[in-house]
Amino acid sequence: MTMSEAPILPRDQSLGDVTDQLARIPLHFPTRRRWLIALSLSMLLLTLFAVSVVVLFTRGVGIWGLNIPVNWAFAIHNYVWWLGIGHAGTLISALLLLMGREWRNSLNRFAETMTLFAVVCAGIYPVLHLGRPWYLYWMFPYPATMGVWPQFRSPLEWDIWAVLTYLTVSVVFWYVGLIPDLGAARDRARRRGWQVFFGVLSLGWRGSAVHWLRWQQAYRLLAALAVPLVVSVHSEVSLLFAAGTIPGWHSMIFPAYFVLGAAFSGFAVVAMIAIVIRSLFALKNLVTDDHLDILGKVLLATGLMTAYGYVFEIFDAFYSGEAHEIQTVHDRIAGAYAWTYWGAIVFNFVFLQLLWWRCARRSPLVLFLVSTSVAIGMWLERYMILVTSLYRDFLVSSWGSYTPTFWDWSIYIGTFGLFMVPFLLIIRLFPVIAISETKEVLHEEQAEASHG
Amino acid sequence: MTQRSAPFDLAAIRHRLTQGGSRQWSSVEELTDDDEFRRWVEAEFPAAATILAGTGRRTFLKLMGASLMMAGLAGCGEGRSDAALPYVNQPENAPPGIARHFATAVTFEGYAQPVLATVYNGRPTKLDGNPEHPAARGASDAFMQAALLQLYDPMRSKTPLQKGQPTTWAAIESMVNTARAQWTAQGGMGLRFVVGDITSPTIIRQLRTLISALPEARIHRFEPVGCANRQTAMQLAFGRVAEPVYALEQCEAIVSLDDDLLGPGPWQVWHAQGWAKRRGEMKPGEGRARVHVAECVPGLTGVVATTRLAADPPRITLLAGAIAARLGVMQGQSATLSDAEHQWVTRAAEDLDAHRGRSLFSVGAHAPARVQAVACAVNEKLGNVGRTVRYREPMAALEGGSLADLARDMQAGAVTTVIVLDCNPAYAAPAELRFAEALGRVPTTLHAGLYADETAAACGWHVPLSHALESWGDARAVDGSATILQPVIGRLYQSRTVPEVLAMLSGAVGPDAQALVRETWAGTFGDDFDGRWRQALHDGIVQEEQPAPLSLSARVPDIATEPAPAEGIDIVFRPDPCVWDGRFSDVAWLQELPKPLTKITWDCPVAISPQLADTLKVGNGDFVELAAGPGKIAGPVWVMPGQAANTAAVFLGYGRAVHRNLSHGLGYAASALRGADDPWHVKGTIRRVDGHRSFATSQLHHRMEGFDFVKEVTASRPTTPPPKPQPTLYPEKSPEGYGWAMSIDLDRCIGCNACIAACNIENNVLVVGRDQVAMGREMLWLRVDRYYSGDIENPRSYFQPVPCMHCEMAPCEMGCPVNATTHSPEGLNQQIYNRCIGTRTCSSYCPYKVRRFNWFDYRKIDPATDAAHNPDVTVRSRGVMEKCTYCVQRIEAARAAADKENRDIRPGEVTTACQQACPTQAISFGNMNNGDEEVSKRRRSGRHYVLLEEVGTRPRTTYLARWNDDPGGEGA
Amino acid sequence: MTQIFSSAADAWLRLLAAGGLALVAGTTVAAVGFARSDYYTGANIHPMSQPVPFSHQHHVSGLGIDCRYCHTGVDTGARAGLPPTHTCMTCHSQVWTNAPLLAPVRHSLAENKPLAWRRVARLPDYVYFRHDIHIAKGVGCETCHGRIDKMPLTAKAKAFTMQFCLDCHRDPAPNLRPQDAITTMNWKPDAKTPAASQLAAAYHLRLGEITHCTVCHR
Repeated sequence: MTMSEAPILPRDQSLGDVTDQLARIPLHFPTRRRWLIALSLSMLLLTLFAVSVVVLFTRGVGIWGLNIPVNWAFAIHNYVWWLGIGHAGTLISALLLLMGREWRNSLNRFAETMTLFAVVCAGIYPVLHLGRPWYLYWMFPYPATMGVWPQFRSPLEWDIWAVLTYLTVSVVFWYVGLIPDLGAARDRARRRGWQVFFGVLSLGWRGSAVHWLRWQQAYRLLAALAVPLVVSVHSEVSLLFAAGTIPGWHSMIFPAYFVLGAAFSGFAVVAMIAIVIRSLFALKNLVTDDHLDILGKVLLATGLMTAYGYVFEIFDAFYSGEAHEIQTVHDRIAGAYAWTYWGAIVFNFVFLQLLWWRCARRSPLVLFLVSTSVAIGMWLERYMILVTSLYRDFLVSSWGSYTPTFWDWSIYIGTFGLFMVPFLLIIRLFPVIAISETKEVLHEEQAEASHG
Repeated sequence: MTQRSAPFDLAAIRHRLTQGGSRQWSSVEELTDDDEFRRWVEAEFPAAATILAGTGRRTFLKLMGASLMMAGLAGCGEGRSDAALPYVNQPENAPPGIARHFATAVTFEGYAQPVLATVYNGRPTKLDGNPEHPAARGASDAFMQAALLQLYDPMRSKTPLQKGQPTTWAAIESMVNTARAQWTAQGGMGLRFVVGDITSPTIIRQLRTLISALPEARIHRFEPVGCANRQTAMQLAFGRVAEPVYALEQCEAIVSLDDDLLGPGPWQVWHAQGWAKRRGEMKPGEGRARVHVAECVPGLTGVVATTRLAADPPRITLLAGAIAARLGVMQGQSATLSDAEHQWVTRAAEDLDAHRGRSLFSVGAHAPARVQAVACAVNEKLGNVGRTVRYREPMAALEGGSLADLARDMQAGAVTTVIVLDCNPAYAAPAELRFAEALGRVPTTLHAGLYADETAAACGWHVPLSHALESWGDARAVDGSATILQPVIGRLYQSRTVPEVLAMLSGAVGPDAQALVRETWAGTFGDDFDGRWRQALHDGIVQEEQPAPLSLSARVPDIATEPAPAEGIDIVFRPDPCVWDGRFSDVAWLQELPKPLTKITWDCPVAISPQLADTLKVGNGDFVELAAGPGKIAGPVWVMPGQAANTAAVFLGYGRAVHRNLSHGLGYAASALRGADDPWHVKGTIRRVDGHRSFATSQLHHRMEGFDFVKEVTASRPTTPPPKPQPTLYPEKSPEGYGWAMSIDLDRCIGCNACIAACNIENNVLVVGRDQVAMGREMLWLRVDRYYSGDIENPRSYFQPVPCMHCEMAPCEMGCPVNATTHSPEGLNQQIYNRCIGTRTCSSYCPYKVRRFNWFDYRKIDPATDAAHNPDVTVRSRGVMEKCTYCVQRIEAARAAADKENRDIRPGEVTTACQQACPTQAISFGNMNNGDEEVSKRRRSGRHYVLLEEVGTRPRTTYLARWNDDPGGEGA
Repeated sequence: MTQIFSSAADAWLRLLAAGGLALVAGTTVAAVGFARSDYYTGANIHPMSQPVPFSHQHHVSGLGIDCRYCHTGVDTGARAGLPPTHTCMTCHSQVWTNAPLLAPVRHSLAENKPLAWRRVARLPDYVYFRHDIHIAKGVGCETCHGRIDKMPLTAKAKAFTMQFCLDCHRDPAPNLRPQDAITTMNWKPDAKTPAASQLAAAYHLRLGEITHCTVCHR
């Protein structure tokens, strides 16, 4: 189905203008100064990250605040958080593409880009948290002279595959989607350097009917691949916890709970980026208030589903009557780390309620703030799920506590650099919004208007 | 170790150590001054060298971060020499790499702790109780285990010192020669010896000869804990010195007034074995093994007691009087007893009365002498003497004056020479004696000790003593039998034994330690000397008939019947359960052993009662200042549940002044408050002062929170609930072949830490340092959990040893992505260090949290343990997970032996280190598929239960519920 | 519109893509292969220099000395043990008494310093290998140490990879021989040798149980 209802893009703009407007961004970069500032800040964070990693590898994971019982914390919960954020990108571009929700066409490009580097940030954590990272390759099933194989029962083993597959598919999907625009950018490029750059990357795109046909097929095929991955990957991640017998982890709802949470946090971050980009590059005509409105609705929906997870978790514990499960619920609500639990509730669900009002959804500022609080809330949730389950599991004698050290924080904050630097470079080099797909929407709308 | 020099020396040493390979290690003595050997030792302890150069090991531990950085960098490579060095002459009976065992003993407060030493290539790596010896029967305590690490302690004194500067033995000898001329001239006038409790026949013989030659010389005895107070009491009761020996295996009822029979000390193994024997025989209805304890500071006996009463020191006297009165030993009297006290006294007295001849009334050696004397009278009245208690000549037989006398004489300037043998009065003497200062007035002072300690610093001269494991010597165990000490390793440093030093003092030139000991026993062994000598060395015990027990009758001294006017609080002194009086405070690894009741490591609290804490408004770690007379100490508080309301307990062994000592800067020096005439109890004041110090404890939470991890059975409910059926999707394993399993009887566990100590040494468990323990990173494979239930004023306490459960349905196993933890067909949960990449999933999934992780490279933190490492167990490097393996190296060794003979492993052929060490046989291990083995019997017992059964892990390690013979106080 | 690329550009691009893929695949194969190469495992490469150029070939096939004459302890303990200098001198005090080649041996005895051989067959520290049990269960020296009797200078015959150990631990039968043939070189079962399966039974091999981790790693 097409946008037969209210048009999402203003119709009083020509297709040519749109192409010019978007293709110009890399070619004649508008906000050079602000971009440079952002980049240098990100560079600083990236350096912090690099230093922290060197220290980590030379001295060992002991530099973190870990102990027995809490021997998983920042590394794992930030891994889950980043990966969750990544998922929204794929959901928006792939799922909505298949469902023919064209409004996503204005958002999918940077949503996918975000996915890419969020997954990179996530993917690096499992390596960092190893006691002996130099033996990482033992996790791959290669024909070793040891004559032993990885253990395929282990959720961590699947993890490696899940993340790598997800990364590969995301990259390809993103790149394929980019090709026509690279073509367009190439054609508008005047300087030789830009011409060659886009020329090579556009793989000789000429925009012939055959090209478009093949491209459509490939693009939708990849989308069809990506969508189930979103679900499978984060379900798998949830098994990291659900597979253990630890109270607060050992629960059937975890896969659904994690996938929804992922989408929730992801959409929040997409909304944040959308708002920033449209103001930075003056794209109000392409990323319209209607877009924000829809994003707000999606955010609200996924948020409420996540909230259901919370309710069910508590119900689950009391329904089971398991003393240890109940103990854990109690520890979450009233224990030493209750602030993570209540923090998660407040940041995730309280501010979220604003989005019931249309004006709030359409106000960039409000939506931005709500999205930020969701991002924070979901971070607290991951923290809560890990630490509150581990610090008091079964035997009272081994109850412990956990406080992140400087190095825990430095590496986490460093990953923002790892995310921002490539992201900034991409929006510097490539069209931030899918030109062809936007034009497609616009064209359809105008066609309707003329026939209508 | 430096690859260039070390291997070369090592081979040379192997050669020397075993040249001729004679059983008595006579050849070892040649090593005494072997430079090559010492070079090898230095090469063996690079870290030790660093530390000696540096600012001391504790600082080293504090600076761990830096060292770990280096270690981490070095940790990656497998850098090893590829040199292979054969013998030049291989001795017949010493193939390389095969363990050999030697019976000898280490000493503790003079008493012999009979050990069997495991020696690889001339290097002892493990001590176990000598199974042939009645005072050990294979069992050990933490101190016996740790003696091995003390041997290798890099902080030991290495060379003679003059005024703190290294000198030579030659210099010492010439000094002694001049001094001796003066002694002989004046018949020994002004010559004083300070010795601890000594049971060694050789040393006693030598000292007596010296005194007879120099009649004016005097001996002063000083043992900071020791039995001095006990002997005063015996003087009072019998008019002569005597030493009571208890036979707890005979006791159906024990009433202990502040006597921690099962607590740490030379008698622990002896008492624990007796009590456990009796406890094991006890069945509901048949006989009793009741223990009634009234104590001011919670001890291990109080934990296992039937009824326990918290009583301040003055009340102890009243309670003794009340019991004596009820049993008609003293005139009836009206001590003002509280209801609780009255009730307790009634039950205690009734039990004593009901089991005349099968009971014991014991009063702590640190209680007032008169009270102890009353106990002697009571036991006599009950007909216990000769049955549950016998009296004998004290093992520490040496007659001598007190330290106070010496201090007085020194102040008076009547002393010209003081010779301190193997004790440390400058640190441990009550401050009011101002001993160190007085020592300064003495022209000639010589200290012989294992360490260059406070006394060495206060003395003009110091000579290093050899460790018991390097020495020829002899000593008597608590049961009175003698053991001949034989060296199991060449001397590491230029040290000498006490007999050699004494011989030097009496003018012998180049004394031979072995000859001195042989001389002592020449009389006893008579004609067949060589035969009996060889036999004694082989067995680790001298066969000689024991003197008949003394038959004595006790006088009843009158004791206070009315409470003394209570001003201030009662400050009592106790030895530290891990470093004792400070003699072990440099063994890093005892510092890290959690203290049985507080679980504190690397520190020394002031233990106060909850009531006192409440009035002072202090919590754990807040500083208080204790003052008694001129003395003051400040220390962090530990609120001790069950401690007597008005009592503050102060522990010995900390606040050392020696800079390099591990406990330098830890805790306080209790001697500041101790009195000379009553060193165990003073009246004083307590007040809160600024400051807080958080303790590094291995257990943070102490209540069971409504769970029943430790189950109890009673006469009315003699069995635990039957196990619930546990459905599983996995195929059931058929019980064929070996099925290794462990059963821990919580009714026998006294929380003595012997198992942990043995486990750590057997499995090369590394020391991590205070900071790491504080972060919750201690490495113990086997921990002893301690729980409280009931009110905090007088709670019921429980011990629960928790090793790996070796679950049949192990959650950890399915978590590991690289198969580093797997299940063996025999039910072992295997941990493969070299495959582990450190994802820590196993530990996250483990419901018992028994897994330990190498957060840093801990290998170089405590150099002492390097040489003691068990060659059959991998030393874990940074980034790998580790845990209890059921001592799989012992299983595999037994299997290899069995397979070579094409037979099965025999029942009892495999013992785990913890099981072997346990003095109460609380731990049994074996093949549960063989119905006749102890472990299988236990698994069938009614008291059998599984920890966290609801998780469905099906552990191989299971428990026997504790027998509560006094549920709710109504008696069983 | 002007051409940006020559007409060959397309071909080049494809070539590059293919080349890239080939490179990745190639590297993987190469790495896997390298880990098995003699260069990496140190098997069959030329012998390392030793203080004395001892020839197993001469002593074993030439003089027919049994392995256990020098490597005492091989059937009693974990380690085979290198012969003490004394053992060498039992013969060489009689023969080749002045051979310059043997000077180091004579010095060793004279100065009472061990000969510093370099280890040829070496296992990692975390492998707890026992010679005695292997011999007791009928695994011949040749099985791991190869044709030592053909080595003028001693070299490592087999790549002591975990795979090498496991192959036998998973299916020991083919590598078993009667006790009298343990030290025999180039041993081939003849008519009266019992079948592998019978040998396995006779030796009471606990088949399937000797592959669990703690058999070798502790």
